[in-house]
Amino acid sequence: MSDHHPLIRLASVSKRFAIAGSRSPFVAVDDVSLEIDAGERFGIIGSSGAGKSTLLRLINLLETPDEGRVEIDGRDLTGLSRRELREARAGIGMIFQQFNLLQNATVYDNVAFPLTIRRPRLSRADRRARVEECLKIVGLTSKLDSYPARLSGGQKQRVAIARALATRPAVMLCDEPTSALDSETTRAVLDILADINERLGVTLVIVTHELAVARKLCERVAVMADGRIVEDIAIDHDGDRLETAIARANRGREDHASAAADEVARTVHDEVPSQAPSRRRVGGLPMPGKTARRGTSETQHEIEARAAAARSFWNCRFPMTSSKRFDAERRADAIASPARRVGGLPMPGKFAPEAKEPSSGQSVDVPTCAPVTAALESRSEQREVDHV
Amino acid sequence: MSDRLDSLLLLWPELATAIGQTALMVAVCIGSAVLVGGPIGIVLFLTGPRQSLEHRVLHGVLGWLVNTVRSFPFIILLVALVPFTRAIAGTSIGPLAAAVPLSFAAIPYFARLVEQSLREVPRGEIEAAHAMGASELQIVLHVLIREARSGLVLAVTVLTVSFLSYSAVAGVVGGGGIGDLAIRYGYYRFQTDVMIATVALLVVVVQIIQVAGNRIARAIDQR
Repeated sequence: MSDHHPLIRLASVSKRFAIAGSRSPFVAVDDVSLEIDAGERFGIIGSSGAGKSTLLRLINLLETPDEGRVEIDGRDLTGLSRRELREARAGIGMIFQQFNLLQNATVYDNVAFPLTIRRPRLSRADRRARVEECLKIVGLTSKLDSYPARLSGGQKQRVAIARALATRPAVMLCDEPTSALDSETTRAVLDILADINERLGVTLVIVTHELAVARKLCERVAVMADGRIVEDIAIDHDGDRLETAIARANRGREDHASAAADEVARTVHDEVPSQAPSRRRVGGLPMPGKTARRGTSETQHEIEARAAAARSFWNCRFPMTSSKRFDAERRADAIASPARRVGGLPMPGKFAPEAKEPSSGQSVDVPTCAPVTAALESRSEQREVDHV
Repeated sequence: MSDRLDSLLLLWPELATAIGQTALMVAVCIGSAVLVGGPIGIVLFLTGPRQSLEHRVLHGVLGWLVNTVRSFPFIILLVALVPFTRAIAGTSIGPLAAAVPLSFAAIPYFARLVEQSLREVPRGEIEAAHAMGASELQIVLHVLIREARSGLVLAVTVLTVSFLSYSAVAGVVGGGGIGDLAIRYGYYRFQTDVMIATVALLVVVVQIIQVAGNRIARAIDQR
């Protein structure tokens, strides 16, 4: 390998779970190899049971792989001692579907928690500054002394994001980050995640079953079925392929053979599906002029300004002790490099016109993932009606 | 009526001593249960199935020990432990000596209660702490105890009430206390009024303990 170092590298990882009363284990992740670059927004989608959450949890070793290596920034996590692994985890933030905030701790204490445990030598004032800084990034500065029970779902997830940012991670793992939220709150949370990626250069890995989320946020998406990655798609180049790939992956599941999933991977490139336009509407996310707007909207000057902002956020006031390689300069470089612009996500305002789309085409032939999306959307519509 | 009042008043010094003895026995017993039984309960929880320190042997052995001690009728335990009590307290008579078998019974009892309370903590919160790089000790201190604290207060409340009544049995080895008073005067001497007075006192004390426990548990619960 020459100059190219992926930030995250999974090499042939497998994870099996024993099933009670069965001799053969359940293979959750089956020989998956994956590289994710610094600054990328990477999505993992698939239906439930496809192994996407397990794959995500392998990245910070919440699940230990049965086989294979997990490398973060060139460092093999599987070979670390428990102590070293704990320190390495401070460089990998994580947020969850159910937020998982400490219920008996205030917003302030929740965000300060990773600092309490990983940065005990930080002075009180520095800690306070860091907590406030993180809460400012997620736009929540007034509820420091509230307990999570008093917050809305969206606010809880924002606290969780702030908490994940407190140790200044290079990566943020998101496990169904918006699946417990209504559509409006989802949009706000996705905006924040995009912002964190854009301004701070934090690499995002997002597991979701909602196509809308993947399309809005991700530059690259891996489709999982039966523990394997059956498709790896760069989203902004080919809008239609996402749904068809999922539909095919699911058809493969029904045929009940991972060979079928392999088949999907091979054929999906050759065929242009005829129903693509209608499917596209079901996903609800036509992205008018998206690619056109990309890349042209940001001048070199703006990019440099953003990189400078990131550099100052990750400045050396609180040097990262976890891995010197996760340094501020690299992060800033990742942002400033022209390659980043291709993936540049449109910022707030962009999502507004799309919001009403999903309801229009719900009766059309739907890929298997979509009913969930549709159900969620209609549920949130219900909620909006209730408000009126 | 006035006769009875007189006999109760005459009994007052003895009642005061008995209250002091009961308080001493219960305090020692609760203290050792929390200090020793609490950590055992935490270990029981952490080594349990699907927990981070899952350890079938250790969990099995601890669980078996806890069950065994808990299955002893307390009066048998009291007598069986006399040599042990002598070794520790230097005597087998008096409230301090009685506190030894009381503690011995309270430790596994509380360990179980703690294990149960900790199970109420959502797995996701523990997992999030792992993801942030917390050690097991940090998870115990900052997550488990914090999140289960109202359940733990209720556990101490239940423990106190149970062992307040167990302490009456300690009268058998001359432990003294309110329950002992009730038996000696109320039962052996047929002084029903003394019996009623002491039982009434115990009823009031138990109510106070339970109400206080509930209030504290509610006040510290932010869930």
